[in-house]
Amino acid sequence: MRETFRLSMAYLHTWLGLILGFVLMVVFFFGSLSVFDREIDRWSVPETRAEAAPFPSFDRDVRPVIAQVRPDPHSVEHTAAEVIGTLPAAEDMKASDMGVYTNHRDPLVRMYVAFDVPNKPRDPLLDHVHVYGYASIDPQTGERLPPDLQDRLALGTGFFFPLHYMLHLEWKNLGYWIVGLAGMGMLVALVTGVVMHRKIFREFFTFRPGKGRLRSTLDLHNMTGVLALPFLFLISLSGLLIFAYMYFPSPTALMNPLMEVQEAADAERTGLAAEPSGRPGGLASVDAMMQDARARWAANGVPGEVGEVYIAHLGDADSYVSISRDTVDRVATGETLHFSAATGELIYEDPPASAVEAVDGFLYGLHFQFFRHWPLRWLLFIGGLMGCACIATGFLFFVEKRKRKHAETSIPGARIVDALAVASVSGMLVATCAMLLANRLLPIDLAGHDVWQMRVFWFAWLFSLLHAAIRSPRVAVGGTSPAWRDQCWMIAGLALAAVLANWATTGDHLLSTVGMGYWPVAGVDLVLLAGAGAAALAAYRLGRRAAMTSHTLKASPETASIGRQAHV
Amino acid sequence: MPTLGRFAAAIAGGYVFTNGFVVSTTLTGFIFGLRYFEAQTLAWLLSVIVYLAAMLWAFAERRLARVWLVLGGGGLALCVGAWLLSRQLL
Amino acid sequence: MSDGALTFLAFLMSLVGMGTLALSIEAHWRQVMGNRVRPARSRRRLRLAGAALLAIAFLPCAAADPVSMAALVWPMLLTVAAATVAASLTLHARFAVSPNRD
Repeated sequence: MRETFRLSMAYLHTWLGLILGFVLMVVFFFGSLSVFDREIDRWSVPETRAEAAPFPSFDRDVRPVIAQVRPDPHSVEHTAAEVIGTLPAAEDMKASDMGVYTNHRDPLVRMYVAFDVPNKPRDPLLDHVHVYGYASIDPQTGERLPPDLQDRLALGTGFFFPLHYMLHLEWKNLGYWIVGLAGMGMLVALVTGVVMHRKIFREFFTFRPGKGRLRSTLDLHNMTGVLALPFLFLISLSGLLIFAYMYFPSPTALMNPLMEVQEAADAERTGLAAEPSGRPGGLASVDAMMQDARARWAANGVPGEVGEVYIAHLGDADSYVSISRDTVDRVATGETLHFSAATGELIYEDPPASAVEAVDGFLYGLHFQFFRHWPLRWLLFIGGLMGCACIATGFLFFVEKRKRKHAETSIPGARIVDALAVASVSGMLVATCAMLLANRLLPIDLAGHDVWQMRVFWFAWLFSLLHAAIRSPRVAVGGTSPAWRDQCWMIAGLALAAVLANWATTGDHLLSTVGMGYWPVAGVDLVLLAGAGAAALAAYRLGRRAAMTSHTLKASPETASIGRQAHV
Repeated sequence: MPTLGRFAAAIAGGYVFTNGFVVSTTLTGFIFGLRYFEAQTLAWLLSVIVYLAAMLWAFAERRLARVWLVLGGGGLALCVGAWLLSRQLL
Repeated sequence: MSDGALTFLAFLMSLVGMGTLALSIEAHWRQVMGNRVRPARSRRRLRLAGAALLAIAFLPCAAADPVSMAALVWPMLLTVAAATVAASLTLHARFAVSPNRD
C-alpha cells in the first residue's frame, strides 16, 4: 500500500508492534516463566517441596479417590453460563470420564473427574459439556492432599501459565483470542522485520552500546530478533497451533455431520467407543494394565514410566482405559495404549505417527516441553527472554525515535508509549516479584489467600502504570523517564525480599537447597537473585546516565539517518 | 483511516480466507484419501502460515478492494463450497 | 562421554563456529584484530569454516539425545552461542585497548 513493498512492510511492523507489543510482552515473559512452572509451584507451595516420584498404585491410591471427588464450584459456575436452563445439584451429577497425570518433574499426581450434565449447550458446536472436579495425590504416601493444600494457588501452573495463554480473561474466551491475535502479530512482525532489515548478515552480531541510545536500542532489537529468529518463529507458530481448532473452527462448524460420521467410523475401527453404551460395566485392575504397558515399552527399549491414565465412560460396559507414557526422551508427546476397562485387555495401540502427525506432534511437544532435558529447558527459557528483550527494545526504539520530534511539536505520543512501555516491561516484573513476595508473606490461614496474591499482582501492576505516567513528563521534553530507574530499584528490592522471605518462612535458604541439590527451589531463588542483580545494575547505570545528561542536557543530536529503515 | 481499513482487511479478510482454506483443505485431503482427522490436522497445521501470508499480502497489495475481494470473497466461496460438497458425501 | 559433556562440547563448537563467522565480517575482524591486515580470501574461508563447525556441532547433539530432541537442542545452542559471541564482542569493544575503539 505504501510506495514500495519494503516501506509497507516497515509500516506494518511499526504499528502492529506498537498495538500488540504490550500483549506479546506478557505472553513471552510468562511463557518463559512457564518453562519452569512446576518448579515455581514448589517454591510457592512449600508443603509440596518433595522429590518427583513415579506414578503410584492406581488400584490402591487413585481409585478410592475417584468417588470422593465432587464438582468444583468454580467449574459449576463456568459451565452454568455455557448451558441452557439450570444445572442439577452438584450431588446429582454423574462422573463420566477421569484423568490422572504426573510427570518426571512433579512430586504430585493430579487428577480431574468430568461430570455429565443433562443440559443442552448454548453454543450448538460444543458437543460435550462437563463440570469438573479436582484432586491431588501425594505419590510418596498415597494420600489425597488435604482440601486447603489442594486449593492453594500454585503460582506456576495456577497463575503464570494461564496468564501466558489467556491473560485470565475468561469472558467469552476473550483472553485466548487476544493472545492468538498477538501471536499472529508476532509472526507478522518477524517476517516484516526481516524484510525491512537491510544489513541482516553484516550486522548479525552487532551491538554498539557506545553509539547513542537510538543506535544501540535498534542494534539490540535487531540482534535479539535475528539471532533468536528460528526460535521466535517456531514458538509463536506452535503456540498458535495448540488453539488452531478454536481460532479456525470452520471444519467443525461447517462439516459437523461429516465429522460425526467419521468419528463413528474411527471408533468402529479402533474399538474405542465414542459414546457410552448405557449398560453398566466394571473396572478391572488398572495396575495390571500399567504393568502390561510398562512391559511393552520395555520391550521397545524406551523409558517406561506412566504419565497419564485416562478412563472414558466410567462404570459403563464400553468404558476403556488409556495409558500414556511419560515421554521424557523425545519432543512429541502421546504414546498411548488403550485397554478395555472391563477385561483389562489391550484394545488398541496408537500406530506410529504419520508425517503430518509427526510434524504436529513435534510442534506441540516443542511448546509444552514435557521432555527431561535440563540444558534444553534453560536454552528455551533464554530464548523466551531474548524474545522479551526484542519486544521491549522495539518499544524503546519507537519512543527514542520520536520523542525529540514529539517534544518539538508537543505531541504526547512518545510520552504515552513510554509510560505504557515502562508498565509492560519493568512494571510486569515489579508485579511478578511483588506476587512472589506476597505468596511468602501472606498468612496461610488468611481467607482468600489465593485471591489476595492475585490482588497484589494486579494492583502492583496498576501502581507501576500510574507511577510511570506521573514520572513521564521528562519524555515530553525529549529526555528519559526516571520511572525506568525507579522501577528497576523496585524489582531489585522485591526480588531480593522474596528470596529472604522464602528463607524466613520455610528455612530453605540457598546454602541448604543447593547443598541438598533441591534445584526446583534453589533455581527459583537463584533466578530471583540474578534478576535482582541485573535490575540493580540497570538502575545504577540509568541513574548515572541521568546525572550525566542533566549536566549536558542538550546532548549531541543523534544521526538522523539511524533507523531510516523503519521510517514511516 | 486508510490504516484502519487496511488492518480490517488484513485481519478480518485474512481470517475469513483462512477459515475457508482450513475447511476446504480438510475436505480435499479427505476426498484424496487421507483419514478425515489427519486431513483436519494438516489443514490446521497450515492454517497459521496461510493467515500470515494473507495478512502480509493485504498490506503489500495496492488496491484495497482487491484485498477484500480475494480474501473475503474467496474465503466465503471456499466455505460455502466445502459446506455444500460435504453434504453430498454423507 | 556423558550426555551433558556432549551437549557442552556441542555448545563449545557452536561458540567457536559463531566466533569464526563473526571474524568473517569486516567490522568484527577490525574490532578484534585491530588494523592487522586480513589475508585475501580469508573472508570466504572463515565463513566456510564457521558454517562447517556449526553443522558438525549437530553430531554431538545427536550422540547425546534421540534425533528428535537433538533437532531442538542444536538450533537452541546455536542461538545462545550467537548471543554469547555478540555479547563478548560488545564487551571486547568496551574494555579492550583497540586501535579502532570509538
